[in-house]
Amino acid sequence: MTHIDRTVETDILVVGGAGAAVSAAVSARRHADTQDRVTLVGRGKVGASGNAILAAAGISLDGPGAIEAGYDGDPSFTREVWYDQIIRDGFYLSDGRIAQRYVEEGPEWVLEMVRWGTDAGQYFHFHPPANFFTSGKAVGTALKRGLSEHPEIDVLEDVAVTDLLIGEGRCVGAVGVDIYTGEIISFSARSVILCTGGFQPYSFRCTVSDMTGDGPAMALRAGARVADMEFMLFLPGVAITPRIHRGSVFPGLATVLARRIPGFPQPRITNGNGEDILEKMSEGARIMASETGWFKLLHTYYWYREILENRGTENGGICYSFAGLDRDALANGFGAMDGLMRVWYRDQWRYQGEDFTDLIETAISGGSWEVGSSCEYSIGGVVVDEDGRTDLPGLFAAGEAATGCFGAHRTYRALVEMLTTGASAGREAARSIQRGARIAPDGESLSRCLDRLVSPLERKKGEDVREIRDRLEEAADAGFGPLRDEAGLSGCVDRIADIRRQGIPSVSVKTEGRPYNPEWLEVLSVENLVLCLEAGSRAALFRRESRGTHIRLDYPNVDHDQFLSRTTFRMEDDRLVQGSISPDVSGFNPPGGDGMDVVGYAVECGKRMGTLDDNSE
Amino acid sequence: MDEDIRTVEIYRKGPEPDGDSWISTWEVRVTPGMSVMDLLDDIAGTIDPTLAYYTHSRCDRGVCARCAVRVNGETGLACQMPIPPDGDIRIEPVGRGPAIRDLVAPVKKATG
Repeated sequence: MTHIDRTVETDILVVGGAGAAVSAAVSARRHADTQDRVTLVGRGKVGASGNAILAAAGISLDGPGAIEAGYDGDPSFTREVWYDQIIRDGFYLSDGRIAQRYVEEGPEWVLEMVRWGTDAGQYFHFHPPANFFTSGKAVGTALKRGLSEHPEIDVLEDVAVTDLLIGEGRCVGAVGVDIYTGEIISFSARSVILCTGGFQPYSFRCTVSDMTGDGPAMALRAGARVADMEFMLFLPGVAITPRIHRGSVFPGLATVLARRIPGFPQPRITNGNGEDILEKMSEGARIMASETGWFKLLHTYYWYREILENRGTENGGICYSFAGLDRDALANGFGAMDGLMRVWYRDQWRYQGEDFTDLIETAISGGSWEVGSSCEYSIGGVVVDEDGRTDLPGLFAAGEAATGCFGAHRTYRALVEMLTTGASAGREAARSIQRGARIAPDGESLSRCLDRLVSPLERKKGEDVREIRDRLEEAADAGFGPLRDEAGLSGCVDRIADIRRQGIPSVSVKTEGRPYNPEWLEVLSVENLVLCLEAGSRAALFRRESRGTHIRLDYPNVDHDQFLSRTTFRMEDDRLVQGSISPDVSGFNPPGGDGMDVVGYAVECGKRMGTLDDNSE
Repeated sequence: MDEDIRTVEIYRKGPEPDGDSWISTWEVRVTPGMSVMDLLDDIAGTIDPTLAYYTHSRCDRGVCARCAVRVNGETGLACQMPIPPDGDIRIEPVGRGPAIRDLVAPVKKATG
């Protein structure tokens, strides 16, 4: 039996270090009995980890709620309108109960987070109908502040939780490793809440490094289900070159901000041949891509069509071209943008922690920015109800690690999802706490978790984990990208099966010892990423239609008759077994038939929202 | 392609608290515009998989501010420091006290 270096006893264990984890821990603390212990264990540091720190960062509430809080909200943007749009934009695959919770409880938590941030000296800029714009760092600072208001919550940072412990059919804790010391820690808990974020299997990344699907994979191994894993949301406008900016969302954000600055000349969006991509869109699609939350999906679709048909740039992207634009107007426009950005970033041309002087100079001199779309959010995750309960008693999940709110496509804020789903899970974990003697983990569960944790360290000969990661990313890039077809997806499924069968069992760790061993951590993460990618690519292969972010070139139409269902997976004897759930969209009557592609569906949504008139195509 | 072969020297230290330290030296192919983090990733990915530097929970955008190293005597975030324009490149850990391992600096932690 592997030695456990340390045991931590708690009542509610929250796994994660960003927004969902903080709201879960705070909510659990508020609803738990005084003597119950709440422990947050994060892979990074609170306030400096999770995708929230890289968010652009928008958070929203409803218009009447904003007015009540003293802001200039739009009264017509009611919770009912908000809910309807989430369901419709999600192609009717949402769990309506979770979306309902999002619009009902989101505003309260958004305002609380704004207070946390404001108290910590951060600025949140309100704009109608009911949005706040701020920086990711401000969100991180706010979360850290919110957690600090509850010093009775125990916090462990830089600890990688690797598996969940099962006892008498319940989740009774977890095992993990202190990343710096290499100590193996066993956590004993009455409930566990997974808030570990999503998964991101591609080579071109704009997210933090921890998006390796740890939560969904741990839940699968523990016996819970995942769903919606085929739906990956891509963000257009992510820098490809120069290399130091590769993965930055600044170019796309700058073009969005530019549209709000009077007199700012708009760059053309061109393919590798210099052709204007917007001219290839219908008028309705163009309006939806410039004025609504559909811009991510629509731009990604049109851009990737160019790239797949060999009209991309040398590095597989497209361009924001500033050629022929008025230099003085560009300089003035960027100057105005810089003035706005300095509210959050003190230095000139600074965004997040980066200096973009080089890109601004390129634009003003009439050059171009080479950009692409990069996955910013995985919609799928652990199956939960509106209280964050999973299939496994004692196990909860929230934030990007869970699924249900956004169906097949997200146009509204993930930061609101992280707060509300975390809060719901924390509250329910506190209310449903199991009293009495602690349940010990089953011996078999404990030994399996510890074996998975330490066995890679014992193999010194075998494939390098970074080579396996490269193979995994190549498989995802080639077959599981934004535009898919049968051959590509089949290839991805086969390659992942091969990695699971032959690569993972033989992977070796050449670095000696447990303290700060990046190879070891990478093995544990890649194993999780492989599981998530297998679920995602198999679900995408099964779904012979297009819906939301899942666009099949060989099945371009939305097919409500055959595919108005959510694909699930659970683990049985180390195999992923597929199943399905009917979405709960009570109050809606999704249309039948299959006569519309995703772009046509977006235009229809625009007509219903009133963004487009009835004649727009 | 504007590639260049450069001498890169990196401080190494074993994981034991009083572990030995040494310098690893490699001739590495670099490209203009790469960051120090890109360089470390390339070395760990293609030359020495045992090289330890700050890799977990990293943002690569200068926000988490946890990947600080010293390059030719200058301290900065590895993800935001361009490699020096010419000459040899020497990379060392920051922080007071011995490194945890190689370039991984000791850290102040919340531990419950």
